[in-house]
Amino acid sequence: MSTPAKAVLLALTLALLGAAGFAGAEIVQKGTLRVGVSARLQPRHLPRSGSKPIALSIRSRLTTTDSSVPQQLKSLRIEVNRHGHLDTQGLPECQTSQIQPASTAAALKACRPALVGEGSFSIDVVLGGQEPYPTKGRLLLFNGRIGCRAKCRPRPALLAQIYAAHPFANSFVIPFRIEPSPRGRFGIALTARLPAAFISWGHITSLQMRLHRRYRYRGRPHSFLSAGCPAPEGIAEASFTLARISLSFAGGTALSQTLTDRCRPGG
Amino acid sequence: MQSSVCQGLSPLSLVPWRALLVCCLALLGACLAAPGASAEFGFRQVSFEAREADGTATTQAGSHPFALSATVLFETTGAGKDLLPDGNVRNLRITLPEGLIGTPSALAHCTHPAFVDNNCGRAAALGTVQVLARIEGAEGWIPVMAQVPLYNLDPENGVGAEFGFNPDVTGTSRPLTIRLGVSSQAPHPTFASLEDVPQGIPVLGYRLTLWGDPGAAAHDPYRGRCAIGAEFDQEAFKPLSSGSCPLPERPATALLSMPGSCSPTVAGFEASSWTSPQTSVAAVEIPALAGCEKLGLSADLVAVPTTKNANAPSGLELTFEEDNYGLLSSSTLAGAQLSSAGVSLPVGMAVNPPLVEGLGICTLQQLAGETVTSSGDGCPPASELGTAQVTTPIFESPVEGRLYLAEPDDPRTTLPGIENPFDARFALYLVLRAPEQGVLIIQPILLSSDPRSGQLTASLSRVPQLPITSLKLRLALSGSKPLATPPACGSHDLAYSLQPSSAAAPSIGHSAFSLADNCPTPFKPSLSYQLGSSEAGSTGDLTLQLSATSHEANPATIALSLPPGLSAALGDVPPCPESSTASATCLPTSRIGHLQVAVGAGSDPLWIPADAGPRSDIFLAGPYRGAPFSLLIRLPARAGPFDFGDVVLRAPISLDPESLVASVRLEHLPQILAGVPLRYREIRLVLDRPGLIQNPTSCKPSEITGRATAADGDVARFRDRFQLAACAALPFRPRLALRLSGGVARNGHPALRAVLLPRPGQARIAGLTIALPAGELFDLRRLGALCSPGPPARDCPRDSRLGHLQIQSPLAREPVEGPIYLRRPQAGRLPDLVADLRGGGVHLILHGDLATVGGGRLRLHLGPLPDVPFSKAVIALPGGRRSLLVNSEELCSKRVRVAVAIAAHSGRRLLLRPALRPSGGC
Repeated sequence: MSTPAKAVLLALTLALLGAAGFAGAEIVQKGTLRVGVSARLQPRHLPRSGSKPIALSIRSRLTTTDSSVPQQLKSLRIEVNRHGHLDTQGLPECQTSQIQPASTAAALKACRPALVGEGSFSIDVVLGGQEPYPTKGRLLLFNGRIGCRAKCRPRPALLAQIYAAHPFANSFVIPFRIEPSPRGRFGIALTARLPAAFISWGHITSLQMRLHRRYRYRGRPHSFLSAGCPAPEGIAEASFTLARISLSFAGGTALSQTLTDRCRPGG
Repeated sequence: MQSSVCQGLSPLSLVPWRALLVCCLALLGACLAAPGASAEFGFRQVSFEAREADGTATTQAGSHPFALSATVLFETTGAGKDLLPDGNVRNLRITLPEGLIGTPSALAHCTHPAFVDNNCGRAAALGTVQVLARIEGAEGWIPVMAQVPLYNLDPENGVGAEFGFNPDVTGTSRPLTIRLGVSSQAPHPTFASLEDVPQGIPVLGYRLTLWGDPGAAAHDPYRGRCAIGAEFDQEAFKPLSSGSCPLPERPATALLSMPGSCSPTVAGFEASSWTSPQTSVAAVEIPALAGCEKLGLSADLVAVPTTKNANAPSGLELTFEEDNYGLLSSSTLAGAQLSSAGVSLPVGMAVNPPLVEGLGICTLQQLAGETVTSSGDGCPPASELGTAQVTTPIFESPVEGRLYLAEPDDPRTTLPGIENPFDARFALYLVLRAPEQGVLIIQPILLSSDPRSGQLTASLSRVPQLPITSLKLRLALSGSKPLATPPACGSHDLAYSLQPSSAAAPSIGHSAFSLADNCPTPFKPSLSYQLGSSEAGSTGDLTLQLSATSHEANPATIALSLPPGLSAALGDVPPCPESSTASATCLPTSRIGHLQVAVGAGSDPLWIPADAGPRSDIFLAGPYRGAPFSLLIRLPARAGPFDFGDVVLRAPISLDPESLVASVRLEHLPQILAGVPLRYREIRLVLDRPGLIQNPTSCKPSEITGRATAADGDVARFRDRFQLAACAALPFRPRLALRLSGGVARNGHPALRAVLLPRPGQARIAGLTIALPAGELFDLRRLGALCSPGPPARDCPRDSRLGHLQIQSPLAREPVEGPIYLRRPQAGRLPDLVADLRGGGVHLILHGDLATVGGGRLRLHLGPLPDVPFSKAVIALPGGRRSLLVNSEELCSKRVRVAVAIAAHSGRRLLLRPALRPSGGC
């Protein structure tokens, strides 16, 4: 990720609703598959000019209308408003090999300095066509890099490490590639393609992550995410497009949902 | 009927009586006229004839002839006045044609004193005797033909009947008696015997005449004294009457009855002289009679068991009665006699095996030792099975008899009739003995037993042609009831077929009897067991016994399941080769026990084999009917004097693949053996090979269960509580070695090898739990397919293999081993483990599970393990690319320990924390 990319400003369009806050869950359905997604920005009081460290929470819940196991999620793409700012300058990086395989504790022990967020997940484990075994676990988000197949430099990434003690103690790392979003409203995109081995047995039913990290580098404070609320003067609360979440499933189903939130500009 | 043999004229030519007289007179003339060619003592001429009043031959079977005459002329020497018999006759015996019946006992008798004093009454006169003799005169020997009356005498003891005549033609000779009896040789014809004839008068011949109806007026001219001195009318060829000797009352009682058969018969003659010990023999063939179609058999047969109980030991009382009115009535034809008989007992009434206990046999040699007076050298008392009593019109008192068991046929002897006349397994000898009458009759009886139903049929053939008024057979002694009544209550029919001597249609009938007590009860056998030791973990004999009452159905199939943990060290036993199983001729090394069965009705069944007999064997054999092992049972069916050969049974031994609970299915139990129904009372299976049976090490109550199917299809289930003691005394210190190898670095995929070594004599392992270090994760990325729970474990896909397990157990001759699969669980549960192990005929399916316990530790659990002994178990989880374990920590970085829990069947639990030693260095 280039430095400009890291400095993406999460500018919140204040042409919309005035009050900032956690957006309500948006539900989108295709066939029997129903996906509810929501995103939340904290805090909502943001400077009208400049930026301030923020935390971004994203929730996704996958269900079906017939109570069957949701289709297997193959890839996930989270696009964030282009006025948001992602800063990894001076932030330690974690290598995949340090957190995989590893329990949550071992991963934290190995890469705690690179931790940029946490969350949780729930999965229906379906082994060999058996009845689903629901399990859940903790999700850790580390700053890192991932390689590529061709000869290229490792690229910035968000490493989501998940560990489940049940049905077996095992761990996975889902790497989110951080890249600029080519679309107008969104500045950065976190794209993850779930490992095939995970897909073979795991049916994600919910995913919750909260990105938030403050740190100091060379004596100056940094925040992994920061944003302002550049609403016109006189508007106490603005509504804006926070993120867009795109999901593609085994079998070709693809869903996408844009999420909005509100902010209250301050001095 | 008239026959004669005039030797020198034509051999065995048949000439009428008149011709015989001519022959006699010619002989006299020839004797006087020409010198005779001297010959040794013997018969010159014999004849035997029955005639009617008009002189014609009697031809009607069963009729009462006017007279019966037997004539003998002896060889002579010299000629003219010097003609003399070539030796003075001493003994003369005439064997009467078979079936010719005389009933002198029904007529008036003359006492011996009266006879000696010539004071016999007319009523006792039965005929005449003509004597052809020579008396010495002044000018040489003078021919004399005298006629004297023949009287019915009171028989002396030991004599059937006795006739007397006084041949005194000179006043110097003593009276003679003719003794009549029944031959001891089959077919037991009657005979007349003249013994120790005085030498005073050279006798050239005799003519004995018996009247068929002594009371007939036609015999008055020759009755008694009227016969004496009658001159011979050479014109009429008959003696002239010397008067008339009528009877004041004329009984219509016949003396003679012609045979009731229309087959040719023979009259035999034997004579010996005072000077020569040799016996001269002659025979006269009697032509077949006619009119047999007029003769029937008026008889009845009734048989009743000696008990009213069903399925109980019983004797049998059989009464045969025949109407002999015509035999004694001179105006009626005598009926036919019994020629052969077949008596079929009701189906279900069969030989009761316990009868053979202490039973002896009568060999043919012993049978030949039977005499009229005693049986000291005859059939042994141990072979006696019953009694008999015969009343007959020819004797005044009943004839008593015994039934003896004949020596069973030995199939190994090739010549017929070595053991008994029928070459049969079952045969009886009816020995009738009347010392007072000098009678000994032996009648073999064939007992046929239907090989499928066991129905007994007694067959008598060539029955002596003697009249029977009643025959009572009691097939029972005080301590012996040789039969068993049918299992069902109600009416049972005995069928009989009586064949008359006349060859007329047989008399076929039924005799019914009813059984009302001890009726069948529901099929409910009981099972019991006995262990050599009741302590957990010990070894000893195992005895399984099925017991049934005598009034329930017969078991045909028995299936037993042993309690969990009661195992057999079959791996130490070399199985009998399959090629030897048909005959069960196995090496002793394959022997593991023996079988005993108690069969028969009543309270004292017969044990086979007997304690003193050849032992039975139970061998271990190989796969049979889908089961990995089988019991090969050789039961020598030898009981008392009977040898039924070896019964070979084969019982598959199944091992439940999950519990290794052994099940034995003893099927096709023979219901009948050589026609003898086997009513099982006890079936005792004893496994007594030292060290074979090993007790469980659990003291939890369990049970031996089973199911028996009766021959009629009824099913009974049974169970018996099984619980051992002294589990607390069993130590439990198995050894466990764990080793990781291969990828011991972080992110490596290590191999795990666990070796479990139980100690002999200790409690057995019920379950093993190994909690791996927290750093060992399960690499689901390497998980291929999961095994489905439905199909057999052997069909699990290769990709579902988790590892390999090998168990060494005395249960099998080879290690029992196979893969461990990860299997899809039931709904809502975690995947579990299943190990499909095979080896040495044992198929073992072990279950286990994988789970994550505190701190994300992967826990491997195997159990429950069957409570069977094993000496070593090796669990191997592969490393490298096939490993499902992945290290999240470097194993060498610190001392890694695993938590191990080993549970014992005795209830103990052992907790260990052995160090996990990476092999190959870090």
